[in-house]
Amino acid sequence: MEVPILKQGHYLIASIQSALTDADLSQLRAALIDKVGRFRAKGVIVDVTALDVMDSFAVRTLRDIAHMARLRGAETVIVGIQPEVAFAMVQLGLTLKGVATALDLEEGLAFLDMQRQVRVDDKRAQGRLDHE
Amino acid sequence: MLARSLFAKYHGDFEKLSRILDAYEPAANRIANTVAVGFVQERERIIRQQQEAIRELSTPVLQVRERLLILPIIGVIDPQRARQLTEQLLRGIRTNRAKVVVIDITGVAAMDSNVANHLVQTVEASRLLGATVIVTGLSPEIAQTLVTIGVDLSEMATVGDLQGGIEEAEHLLGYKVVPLEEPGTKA
Amino acid sequence: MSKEIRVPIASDVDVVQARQQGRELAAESGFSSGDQTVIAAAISEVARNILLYAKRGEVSFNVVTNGDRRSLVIVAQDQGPGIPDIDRAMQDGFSTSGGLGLGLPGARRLMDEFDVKSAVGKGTTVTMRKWKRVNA
Repeated sequence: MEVPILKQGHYLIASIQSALTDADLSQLRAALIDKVGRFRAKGVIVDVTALDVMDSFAVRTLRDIAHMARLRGAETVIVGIQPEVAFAMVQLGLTLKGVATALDLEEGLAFLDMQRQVRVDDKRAQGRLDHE
Repeated sequence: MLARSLFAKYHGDFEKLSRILDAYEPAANRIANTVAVGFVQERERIIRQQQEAIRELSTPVLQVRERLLILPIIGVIDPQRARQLTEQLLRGIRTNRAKVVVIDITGVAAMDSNVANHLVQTVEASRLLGATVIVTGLSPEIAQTLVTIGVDLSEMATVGDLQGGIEEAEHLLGYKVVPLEEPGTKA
Repeated sequence: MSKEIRVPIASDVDVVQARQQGRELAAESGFSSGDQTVIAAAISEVARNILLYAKRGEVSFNVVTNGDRRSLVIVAQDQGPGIPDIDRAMQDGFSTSGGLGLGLPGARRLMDEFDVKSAVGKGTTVTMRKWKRVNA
């Protein structure tokens, strides 16, 4: 089951529609990394609203995505974690530490916009502004 | 009563009385046991139901401002109540689209390491829903418990009291509380 | 009174199948929504372990009801290489296949009862139980 990835401005949005096997998750990771590079995306949103379980493999994959995206200059936000899924995750000991999370797509986009603004401000403060 | 009448009837014949009591005793014990167990089970069931109702009432998740939730916790927290609190809070975060939650534990007398762990889990789970948690009312004892179980208090935002916690939350949300001008004075 | 479902595990599609069936059974048996999620996550962990280490095996679910006490028992079984050092495998952070390695310890944290029996060269059996909360 391939996860649809949409491009919205400088961001990529991956909307998970249904339960994913480990192979599907690995495929999603590969697809996102490829697209981040190709479109020089600044941000990635992975919407997991439809997932009713998140186990260690899913969390590991999301962390990998965030890590690899950052290496290519893009911030990642995971959005839509369900309350019960969040609770099960913390009991399992999976905290998604170091990865940004937001309530939903709207919040995720706001977060990415803010992050970009921060980076732009930083560069301005440093007296240089690369071609954005 | 039965025992007494047995004595009255057979007091003259100790052997017979002894044999009768041997038969009577286990039967009587079994009867008493069955009644007692049945009674206790029913009572326990009713008590559990009432406790559940009380728990629901005493753990309100309050929306104070837009995107700000307050969860005042009062009294004794057992694992079941802790779990229920977390579930209610997480659902509340989602429903109210809260960005900041203030959990006030001023009213919590003591916290064992299990419940302390639970508090940490609640903070982490809230973050997964995109909300920041501020814990207020941490007593020195509870702070000690948290440190003992390995919680890095610098990771958990804590503020002395509820008032301070709300101010911090408002600050995070970009609110500024300004006193109202007296009527008649220049704005 | 009990009810049993068995799911063979041979591919990652089976892992998804196992956790979905486990969740459904939990739902039918009256477990709260939160507990269903927890049960599904635990099943996912042990089913994946079967796949990773033994390549194939089976997960079975059993609902046991006794008066107003009800529990869901999950048994994950394989004839794989076995776990040489169970204690070490149950420690957080340990895994021979890299990554977070939270399979067994994580699943244990989620369940009320947890047992691992394993013999090198023979296989592994993980038995877990979750009690339905009386007021759920």
